[in-house]
Amino acid sequence: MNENLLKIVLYHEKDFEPLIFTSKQIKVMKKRKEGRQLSNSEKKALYTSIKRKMEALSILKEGEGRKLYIAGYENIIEGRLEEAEKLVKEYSVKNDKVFVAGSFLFSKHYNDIDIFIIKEKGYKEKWEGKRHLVFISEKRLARPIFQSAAKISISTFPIPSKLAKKRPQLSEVMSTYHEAVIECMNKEKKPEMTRHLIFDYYLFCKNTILEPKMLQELVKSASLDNLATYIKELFTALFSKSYLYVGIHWYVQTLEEDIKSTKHNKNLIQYKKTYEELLYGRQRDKEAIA
Amino acid sequence: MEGNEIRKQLHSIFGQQLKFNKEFDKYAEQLKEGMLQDFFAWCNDCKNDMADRSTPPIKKYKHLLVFFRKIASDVRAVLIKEKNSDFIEIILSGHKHYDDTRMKLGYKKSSYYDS
Repeated sequence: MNENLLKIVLYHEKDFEPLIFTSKQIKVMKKRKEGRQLSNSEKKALYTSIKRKMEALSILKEGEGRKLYIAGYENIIEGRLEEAEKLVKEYSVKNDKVFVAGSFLFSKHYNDIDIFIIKEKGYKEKWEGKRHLVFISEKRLARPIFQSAAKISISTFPIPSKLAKKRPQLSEVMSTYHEAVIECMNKEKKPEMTRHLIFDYYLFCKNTILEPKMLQELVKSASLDNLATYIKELFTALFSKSYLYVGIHWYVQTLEEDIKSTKHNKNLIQYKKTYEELLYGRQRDKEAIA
Repeated sequence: MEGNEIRKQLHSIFGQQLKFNKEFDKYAEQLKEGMLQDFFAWCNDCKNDMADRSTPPIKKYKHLLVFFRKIASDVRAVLIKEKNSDFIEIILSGHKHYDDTRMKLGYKKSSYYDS
């Protein structure tokens, strides 16, 4: 529900009651605004008749024009700004805080249009054709990935620049690297894990939140050597030498066995090489990979 | 193709020991014929040592090999094999369950914004 509109309606309650909202409905809306617990029948009223009336009122409010916030204007492709504005307006009828971000704004070729909708709590993704709807809480906006998305965006509200960094686990970093190598070897069109790896490298090693256009360019030019350099620096920035030794040494031994037991082992050889360089400063046993 | 026919075909590729997740039929039946044939081709590649796989990066699963596959925009497959032994489980699911399985095995979530 559009919270701003709710405030306006309650401020002018005498003008709306009883022609648009009944006194009972106004009472429920007040309870909702004050965050008080609603009974089952009040909840039913809120999510049926009140919600519908509020959505209809939102359309009138939208007609008056609404201030939009644009970030990274210089990166937005001509023509996309207008389309994005339309989308933001369309979704802000039912939702107070909305923003459009992602490759749709800055890249000639794009897969989908990322539309972010701020909800009170929870997280959900939904696709409506090419539209990728991401429902997030305001708290989640502080995550680096959303802060990055917000750097090139069009929104109905000023997106707060807060940052909540969370250190990934060793196994997550390792698996990200493994899948990034596979993506690079297979020349995949949408290399998600390469994107994760480069993003985390800049976040934790350079203390920088990459803006999405720059990230896309780095992903396009990524090679196996780049990935190995990124991951080694990322490991060193995130974990102590002894922790890395304990966490990776056993995996190198596992890789040795796996490399011998399969012919489809190019990626495994690459992991082993990178991990040995990380742990021992050089590739240890060249015979094992021959 | 119906879920039980698909399971039958997978049993013939991997053997009768293969287990399926609860929602396997629901997701398998969503696949169009072409996607289904790609899926079977991938299963054969896994069986014949021709597909990308990895050992999970956490120690308690070091006896396993895991294969991942994206099918269409909303179906995901995870195939699990015991090293030097049989394929033990195949999971066909949506994004949420796929990410849960990945997390359990020590991998990063695949969804970019939910990671």
